[in-house]
Amino acid sequence: MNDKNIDSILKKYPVGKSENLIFILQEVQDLIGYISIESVEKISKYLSLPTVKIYGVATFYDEFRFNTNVKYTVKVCEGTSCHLNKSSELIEEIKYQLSLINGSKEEEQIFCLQIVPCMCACDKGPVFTIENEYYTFASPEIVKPALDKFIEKNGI
Amino acid sequence: MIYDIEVNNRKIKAYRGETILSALQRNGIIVPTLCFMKDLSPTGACRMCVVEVEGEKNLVTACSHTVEEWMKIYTHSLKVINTRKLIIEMLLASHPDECLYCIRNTNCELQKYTAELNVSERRFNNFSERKKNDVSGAGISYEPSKCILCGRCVRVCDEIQGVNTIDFIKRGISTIINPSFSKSISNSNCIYCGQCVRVCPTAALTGKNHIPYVLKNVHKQNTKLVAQCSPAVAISIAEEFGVKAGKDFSGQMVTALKKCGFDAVFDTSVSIDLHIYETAKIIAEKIKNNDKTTLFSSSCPAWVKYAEQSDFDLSRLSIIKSPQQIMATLIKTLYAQNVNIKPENIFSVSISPCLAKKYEAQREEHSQNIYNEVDAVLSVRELARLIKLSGIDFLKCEPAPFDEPFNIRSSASNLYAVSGGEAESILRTVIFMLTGKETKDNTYTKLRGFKDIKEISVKAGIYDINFAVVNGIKNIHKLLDEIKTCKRHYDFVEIMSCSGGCINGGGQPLKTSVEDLKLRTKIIYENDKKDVINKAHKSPFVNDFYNDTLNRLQLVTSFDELFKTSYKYKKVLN
Amino acid sequence: MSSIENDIKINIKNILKNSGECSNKEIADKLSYLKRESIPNAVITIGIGSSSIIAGAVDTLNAIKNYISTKNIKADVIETGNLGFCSEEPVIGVQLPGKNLVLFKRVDAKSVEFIFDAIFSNDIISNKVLCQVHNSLHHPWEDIPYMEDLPFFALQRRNLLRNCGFINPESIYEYIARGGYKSFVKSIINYPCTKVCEIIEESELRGRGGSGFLTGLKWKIALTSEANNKFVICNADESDPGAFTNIILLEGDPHRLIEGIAIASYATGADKAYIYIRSRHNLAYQRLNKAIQDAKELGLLGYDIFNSGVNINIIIKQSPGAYVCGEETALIASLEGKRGMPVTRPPYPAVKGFNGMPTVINNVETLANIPDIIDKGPAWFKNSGTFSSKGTKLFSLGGKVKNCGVVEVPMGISLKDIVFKIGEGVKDDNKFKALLIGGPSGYFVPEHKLNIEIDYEKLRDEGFSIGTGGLVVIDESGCIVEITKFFMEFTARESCGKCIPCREGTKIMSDILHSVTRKPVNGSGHETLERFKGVMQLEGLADVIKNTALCGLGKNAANPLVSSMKWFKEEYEEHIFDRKCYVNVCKQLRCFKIDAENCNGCNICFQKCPEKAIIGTVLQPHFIISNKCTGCGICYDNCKFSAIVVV
Repeated sequence: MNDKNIDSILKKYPVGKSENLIFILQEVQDLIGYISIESVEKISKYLSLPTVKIYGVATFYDEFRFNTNVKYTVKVCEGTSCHLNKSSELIEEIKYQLSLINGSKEEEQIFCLQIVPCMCACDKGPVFTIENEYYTFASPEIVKPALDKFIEKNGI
Repeated sequence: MIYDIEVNNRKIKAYRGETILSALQRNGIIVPTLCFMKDLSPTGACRMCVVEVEGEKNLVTACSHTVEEWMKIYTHSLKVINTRKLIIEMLLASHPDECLYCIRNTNCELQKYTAELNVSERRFNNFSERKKNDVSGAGISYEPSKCILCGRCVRVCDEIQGVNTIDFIKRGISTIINPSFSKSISNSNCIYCGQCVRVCPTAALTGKNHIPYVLKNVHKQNTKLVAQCSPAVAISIAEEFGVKAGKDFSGQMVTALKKCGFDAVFDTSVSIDLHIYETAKIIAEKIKNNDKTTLFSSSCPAWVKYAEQSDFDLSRLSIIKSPQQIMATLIKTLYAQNVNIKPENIFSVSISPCLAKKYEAQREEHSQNIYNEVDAVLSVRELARLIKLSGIDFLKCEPAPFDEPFNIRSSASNLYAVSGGEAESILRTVIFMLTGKETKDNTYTKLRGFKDIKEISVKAGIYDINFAVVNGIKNIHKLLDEIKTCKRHYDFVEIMSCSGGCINGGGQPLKTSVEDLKLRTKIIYENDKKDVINKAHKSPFVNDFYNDTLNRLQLVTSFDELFKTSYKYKKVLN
Repeated sequence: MSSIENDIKINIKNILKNSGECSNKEIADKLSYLKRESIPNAVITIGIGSSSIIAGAVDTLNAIKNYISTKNIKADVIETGNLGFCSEEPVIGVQLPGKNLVLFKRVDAKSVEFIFDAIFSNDIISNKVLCQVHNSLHHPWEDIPYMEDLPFFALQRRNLLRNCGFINPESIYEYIARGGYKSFVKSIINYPCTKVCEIIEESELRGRGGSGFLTGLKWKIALTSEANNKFVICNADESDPGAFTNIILLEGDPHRLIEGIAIASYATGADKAYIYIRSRHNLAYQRLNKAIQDAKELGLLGYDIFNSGVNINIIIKQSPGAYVCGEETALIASLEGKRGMPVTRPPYPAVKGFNGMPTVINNVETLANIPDIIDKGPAWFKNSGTFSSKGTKLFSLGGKVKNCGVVEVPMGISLKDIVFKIGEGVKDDNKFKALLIGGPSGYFVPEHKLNIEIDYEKLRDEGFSIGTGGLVVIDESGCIVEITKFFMEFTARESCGKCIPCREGTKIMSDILHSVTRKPVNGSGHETLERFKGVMQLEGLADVIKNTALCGLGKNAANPLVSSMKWFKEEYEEHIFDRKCYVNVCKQLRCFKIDAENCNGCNICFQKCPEKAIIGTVLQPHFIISNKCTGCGICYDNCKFSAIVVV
């Protein structure tokens, strides 16, 4: 199933043109949620690019994930303004809470944490989002209730 | 165009368009470099080669800037020296302080620059967590905590070998050099050619150490410690003892090995003669039958692994075992028979210029039979270490001959050490097999030299013989494409993974210049010219073997056990 | 609505070629409707953009729609971009026929009803009103301040931002109605490529990305480089923590950028332009995408534009996320599908860039300036600014400042005016400590240097730089050492890892700063010595990194450290000698004491202390052994009787 979809992505790009690598990877991740070994092998054949080069490129950027099962994204702002409002404590707490929820398995995670440079809400920091829910002026204490609420709402 | 530039207040000559570094080097001004590799484009990553150019705000890297006529350069001003020193100290900050226990102690580039730049104390603490070692590889060990990320291994693997096993992974302080999906080396597409080990400035990449295995079996009761030496070892081992390249030290090597505790020392060249003979038989048969398939050589284990993990049609790979494995089988059968001991009581060591041979020795085809064919493989560097360890003054060793029964060889066998040599020596025997006549001139210059792909067409009576040689694994695709498009037909293709052949193998001395390679090649061809027995089929051993020895030999299974092997597809991430 | 669009579509050439003066009255009327000069019904605008969405603008929008439908009011609801006044988001505007547009601030879903109830009966809720917008064709409201009268807007000169928050960014027609794409059409029809380059060169527009290279000159270099293909790349990969100038522009007025890119492509002879944008899943991407589609549909992009023989294609590419890709050569490497590692220059991208071809890389702000310069001429542009820096500059003003947002100020304004007049000073009337200019590769500016004018040269002479346009105000509660450490960690993580000074040097510096901001782990004299040694090296390290790093990121990596050590030396000394962070930000330096009067001996702190640093018997006051305490604060957080105090 996945294989076919990846083929359909590849078809959009010319054979052997490695300059499209990043865009192919982005589409693959959009489609299957992460960068799988199988997809990298396919891309490798299609672009005549060794898998290690693809892996090297993919790991260079923040966007790409290699764990198989990430359902929801938690984003937290690490901008300077948020940092002044103690976002680092918030990030610590989110990391801790997520690790409790996700468990120890690296490959399978319910939430993944994305630390973003700025969310354009410098006066309301620190800010974090769970999918499309925004939390402003967030203190570490509200992380757990927020996650609990989200989990309950989505029946995880 | 040549012009004068001013360096350290003196005028030196520089060519238009060359880099500052090349001008400095030619004029005897030494500037330290870590990431720089001759003949490859500069990356400017290490910043060690910075120099001060008058009028430039910042220091410039000598490796990447071209000289300009107006330039006034200071290569060793206080500012430059302090900068270089600090760069080295930055590297040392995350580098383990264990030089004394390191395999590259005294020949490490980082250590050398640390000393040269007078770094005398650790100014920056090491807060980094130690990265995990990877000792899974059969031929190569990897210690990432010692890696300084100069990228030389990555570039060799990509630009010179074209194998692409490793690359930079992640970024910033987390950057690490790893195989695809950070798999271990044993699960990667590494072919163990060992070129990365040769260029590594530190001990991050090293050949797998087999010395302890050997030491365990020195003077062990009921165990015969036996060595076989590849022809590419004798011509380079002396370099590890300070002798200029281009001299054959096989005699001294035999004595030294005996002094180290080996009970018998054999010449792998003897089995090369058998290898030539067996391969030539197949080719001659093929030509006679007008069979237009191509036989690909299989004596380079790195190439064999490369073929097995690609979509290459493995049925085209020669099923004849490599000389190392033929000799090992002979040792554990014929020799065991002669001295009347069980094969498991022989500890068979192969001394080879190659790290992939370590891998070959533990392939299941060669280790999971009744006995291990080869028990340990020592590289040239390891041999030198063993000799030093045993307190032997190598250069004062009296030359001695190899031990019977594996001591008589043709000079053709020694050609296996250089690229094109296998093809040339097989060609000599094939011509004989097809025509039944001996040729007078046995030099085939078209197969010699350092070209990427060499080819030759020879008429032998009514037959046409077409051979090709691939010098360096990167060039294999060029040739395969030509064969695929039916542009050319070859009866036999020799492939050596390392450019230049085994004389440039991953187990050879670390610092091997192009000049050294030329000298090593020269001595091999000179020896061949002098020798009377210069064809495998003329070797007394070979004649004896087929007429007599083979009948006496009690093989466990069959004749195939001695000469034949098999291959299978290996799934790796390419 | 759709008939208007059709009419404009048919007459597009006339409208754009005749420099906006439309002879056809019918169309002129329609354009004036789009400009909202004459409107039949009430128009409600709401700023929908990244910053207002976080403030709850989507809920507000729903409430507005709900209000209109339930009360059966005839009104157009138009989603605009953000005004840039972040602290007052969500901002909505209401324009009644014949009346000035009134903006309301902080409109949450609940307040929609009473604001609307009031205004539709010609009354204004005064505590919710922000301002009214002057228009000579409309009647003013009484007792409502004009936009220009607000301190936040008074000193601004909003050229680039003038449409932001007012027009619908997804309507090309509104942009055209306000004079958009005139400059582009004027360029391709009236001027040869060289002339456009000359105009831009004459305007002395300098790259807004930080280095301040003359844009016109860059274009000229690319134009005169011989090659089959040339490229224009718009760097919209704003990944500086705390800078969001581009996003306001992209979300609020995407066509301005598209027009700028189109002109740049024409001027440099490029037929392909890329926009390199941070994320694909946000509004800016969607709006840009829509803008390009619409422009194509009107024949403003594509092949043989307006029969001039000019081909221009704009493609949006999403950055996969790496700070270093803001560097030109790294950005190109990333676009080429490689690891975003900078390469040595020369050759410069304008000579040999993307795919080895001449490539002009400009940032969003630079390109957004282009249409106005072509339209109004270089002299107009040079009117504002200083001797060597012309025009206006966008800054995102954040941190502990009262008015937070994106501001556009003329070059030459002082930092003090931005912070204390536009920003109205420090939040909660705290004391000002420092202004951080330029993000993680930027500088700390102390109060006595705030008089400095925004000017490339003047800032440079004082040892600062404009950088990417982030201004963050730090008040007395901020710890300079800690912020510097934060930046060094950031750079160490975001370094590409290629060259040693940047990769290892930033790591070492952050390690040293780390050791300064925590208590000694085992308290040995040796460790103290090591720490001192480290601190002694900081300046030398910074110097070498600056001198030898491969790219701009590395060269500027030590800026925050150098400037903080220069201006806030005493804070470092406090951390190093007193081992105190007097603003209590560096948690690991905190010292705790148990107030025996408040402690009832509940024993919880004793149980929770991971270092076994608390002793005492139950129901008796406890005691902290300060040598063992690491300052983790667990006891502090767990004490229910406020018996544990920071000393």
